[in-house]
Amino acid sequence: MNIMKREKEKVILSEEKDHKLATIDTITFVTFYLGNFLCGIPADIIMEINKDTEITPVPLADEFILGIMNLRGQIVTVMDLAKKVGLKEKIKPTVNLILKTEGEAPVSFVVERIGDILEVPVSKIEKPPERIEGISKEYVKNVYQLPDKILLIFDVDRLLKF
Amino acid sequence: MMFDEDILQDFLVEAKEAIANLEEGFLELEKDKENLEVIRSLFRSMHSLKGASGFFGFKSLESIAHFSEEILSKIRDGLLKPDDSIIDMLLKAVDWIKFIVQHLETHKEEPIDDNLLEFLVTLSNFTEKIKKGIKEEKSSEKPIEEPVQEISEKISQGTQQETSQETQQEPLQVPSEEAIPKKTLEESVEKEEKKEEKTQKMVEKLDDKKEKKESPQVATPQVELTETHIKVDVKLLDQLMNLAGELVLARNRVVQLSQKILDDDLTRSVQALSMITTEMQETIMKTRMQPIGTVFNKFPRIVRDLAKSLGKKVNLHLEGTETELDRSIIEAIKDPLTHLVRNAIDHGIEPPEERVQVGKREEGTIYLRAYQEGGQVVIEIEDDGRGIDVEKIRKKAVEKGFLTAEEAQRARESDLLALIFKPGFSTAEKVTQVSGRGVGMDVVKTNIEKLGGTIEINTIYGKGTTVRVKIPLTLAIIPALIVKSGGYKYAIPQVNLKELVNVDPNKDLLKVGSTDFYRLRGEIIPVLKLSEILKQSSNGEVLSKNLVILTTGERVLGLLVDEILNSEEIVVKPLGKWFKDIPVYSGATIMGDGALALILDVVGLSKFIGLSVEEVEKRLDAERITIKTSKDETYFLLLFDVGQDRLALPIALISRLDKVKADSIQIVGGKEVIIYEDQVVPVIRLENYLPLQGLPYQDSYIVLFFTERSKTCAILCSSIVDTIETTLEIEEGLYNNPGILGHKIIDGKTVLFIDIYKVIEMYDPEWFVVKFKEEVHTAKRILLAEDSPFFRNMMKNYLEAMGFEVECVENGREAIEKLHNDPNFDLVITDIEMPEMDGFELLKELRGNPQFKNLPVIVVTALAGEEVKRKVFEFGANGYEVKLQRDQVLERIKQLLS
Repeated sequence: MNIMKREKEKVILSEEKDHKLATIDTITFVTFYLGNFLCGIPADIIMEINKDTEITPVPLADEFILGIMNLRGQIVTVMDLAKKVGLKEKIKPTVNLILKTEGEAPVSFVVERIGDILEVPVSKIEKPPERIEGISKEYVKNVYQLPDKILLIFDVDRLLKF
Repeated sequence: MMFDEDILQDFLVEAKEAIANLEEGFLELEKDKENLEVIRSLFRSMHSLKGASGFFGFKSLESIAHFSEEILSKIRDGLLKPDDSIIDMLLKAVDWIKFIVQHLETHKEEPIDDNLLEFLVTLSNFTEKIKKGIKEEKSSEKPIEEPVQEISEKISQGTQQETSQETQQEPLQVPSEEAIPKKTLEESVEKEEKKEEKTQKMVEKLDDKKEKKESPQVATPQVELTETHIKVDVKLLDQLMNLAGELVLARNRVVQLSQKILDDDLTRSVQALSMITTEMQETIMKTRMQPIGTVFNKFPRIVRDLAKSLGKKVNLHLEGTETELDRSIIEAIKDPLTHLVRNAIDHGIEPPEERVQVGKREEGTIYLRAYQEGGQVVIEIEDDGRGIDVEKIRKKAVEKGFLTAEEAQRARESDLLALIFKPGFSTAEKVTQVSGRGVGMDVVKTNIEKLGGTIEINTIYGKGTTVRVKIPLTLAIIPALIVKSGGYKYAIPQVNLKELVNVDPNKDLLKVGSTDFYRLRGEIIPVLKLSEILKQSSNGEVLSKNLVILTTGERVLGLLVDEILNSEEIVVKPLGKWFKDIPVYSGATIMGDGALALILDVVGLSKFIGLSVEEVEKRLDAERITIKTSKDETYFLLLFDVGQDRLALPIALISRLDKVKADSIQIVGGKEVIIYEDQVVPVIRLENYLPLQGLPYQDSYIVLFFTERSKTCAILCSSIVDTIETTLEIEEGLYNNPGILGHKIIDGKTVLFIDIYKVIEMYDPEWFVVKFKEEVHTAKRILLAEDSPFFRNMMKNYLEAMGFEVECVENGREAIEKLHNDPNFDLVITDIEMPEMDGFELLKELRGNPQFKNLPVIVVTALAGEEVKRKVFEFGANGYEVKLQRDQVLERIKQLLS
């Protein structure tokens, strides 16, 4: 039963993934910092960005689950993104990036600091390097070279995969 | 014919929908005569309309639908082209259907209207004409007789005759999909002859009319159907419900704010908002509520069929069918209930011969009962069948490897009954067609638990079984207890809540292995610490003193929490998939201040219990700790001094306390008396009867009044020391004087527990004799099972004073042994909470044994409670009395022995 449900979610998520990157020329990313890493997720899957919301811890939950929060009557699962991606440094979770999710309870990624909104040409998006130090590579889908920095583009589907 | 109002409403809603479909469809068909899709849909609508009206016995409606359907079937099969005249006729049929439906809505019966009859004839002829036309085309078969007679007959016959029109279909070769039972022609002819006389007149009349206006067709009625019921998507209702929940929360916040601002106008408008919000929420809740009768009402048929197929006789009684439940719950309990009822018939009720043999009525009785109880709905399935043989379960548990032989031997009845719900455990010896098809009680239990409900079984072997299912009224809003642990709030569904106890974790908890246990009235309850389960960092060594006793329906557990806050109606919200694997939560809710609270899942919590209760008992036995039960019960005692001696009496026995001046004690007829509220009250000096040092002269004394059967006496003492709450655990043997039950050290001083009944009897042997003794001719024998020496001695004394012969035992097991050695008792009086075998088990054992089936049993208790009372009588007790209410106990005995 549980497995069935998960399967279904997977299907929905992968569908979403496919039609996103394919046709558009540029993709808008919301960027944020996790420690020294500049990271980004596509802006179109973000519902809203919140600061300093009250988070209720859920004991016994996975370590990267910070808890739940009340978003206008909806229960939102709050995920500590730094912990999820295996960032070694300790960060102070402050900003909520609340994602649009279909069906199930929405999820929010908490990060330390929000950065700029970047429009990135699809053609400039590259495969991630073989080695990324200090963060687990499995969640980095692509990278984009900025003049002074590299933007890690996260694989949101993978982050949300249960 | 009477119908359930709801079913009729459903029918009307459906009929109106069908009418709308039909009208639309025919207009469509007019434009596009070849549209098979539309034709099929029209046929379906008409067909289901026919079926439904047939079910209700609405004959005219059924006939119209029938003929229309027949025409439509020809069109569908391509035998007929839908020309304008046909569509015209069909539209008229729809108009008449509308007319009838409207009449049904207001009058609950079909209209009696000549025009309607005329139309029926016209429609019938029209259909025949078409059929003939088709047949001529096919140039085959013989012509069919005029159908007028039959139709009119049918209508005049009302509900009696079934669709005999089918006979006319006989000669037709048109293939028909429907599986309508066909009546033979002879049969209908026979009927025709019988009814001929009656119908003759009508037919003549009809024929008359037919002649008159053969060509100008009957005018169709023009009616507009008003919609009183609409179908709404449940999702929409769910959303409304969610929003209402949110509105409540928003309202709560506004109320809080307005209390800060303190503006009159604001307060008033907030009050108005508040009221409207509450009302709205309730109304929205109501949209989802349905009477449980919608499920119950299908059981008479199921029971009848099932009983018949099993060769049993069963009477089904439905109670509380109007009890309302959330729609989604109603849907979800259908299957579990069906299973339980089937079980009751298949396994519970005996075959008639067997019933007669054991002295029961030939017909078994099953009660299906629903009622509300504190935010929940209780559904009971009660049968008076053979009950469940617990010993058989015990044997089977070992055979199937659910328990070891040793475990099985120790297992209590409730533990054994719980096994029924385990997957793969079924006591049915043979798999019948009815039950034992793989869907077992485990599925029933899981389904009920999914709804947030609980299920329990009570059974008395040979007497019957009651299955009690408790489910929340609604899934979305539930009453819950809010507790605090680690600084955060948690909600516990009220369904699972049994009681709240204040404990001292250092003293009251008993550690066996790594698990804590608490003794609640003799029952050993595993205790979990919420903060430990949730792995919350404990803030120092703050001891949680609040023990919440919870039940999963199957097992009871205690949960220690930091704080118990309040009860609240909470809106249940699901948690995301990330929390699916954590068993202890069933959701989350938003509190009035916007904060979140997790809802605890009691079944999930119970999985954290390390040791089973049986294991603990085993270990306790090994450690030679005996579990006494009345030890745990506390009573309020009055401590008082008589001179140097300290005495105690349960407060419940004393009717009044007062102070009297020494000079107000008079001596009348050799007896000391006082005048108290215009009554002469004899005064008893305890030192005259008990080995006390005596009461020195005081200016004033304290008097304890003792009233029974409107006779009052007073006991003189020097001062009141205290009232304390303590157990009645007393030492016996040191003071063997009559009138002293025993002693106990309280605050370093020996306190004598006195038997007030005995003392009064010593003062005046005739005091309690109120024409009681004469009635008891030969000494009746009473067996008293009571573990507390205090009550045992006291009750023994007062029973013996009444001339009964009393034998005492200390628990149920001893009572059984005693009875087996010496069955000649006239009555059994038993306490409920006793070690080894409690009063309930004793009762069951007695009621299940043919020898003692009819032995009167009075259950006595320290504190009366409604639930216990119900249970006691359910188990077959003849009386339920409070121990200290001597006169009522005696009254009951008198009543039972007379």
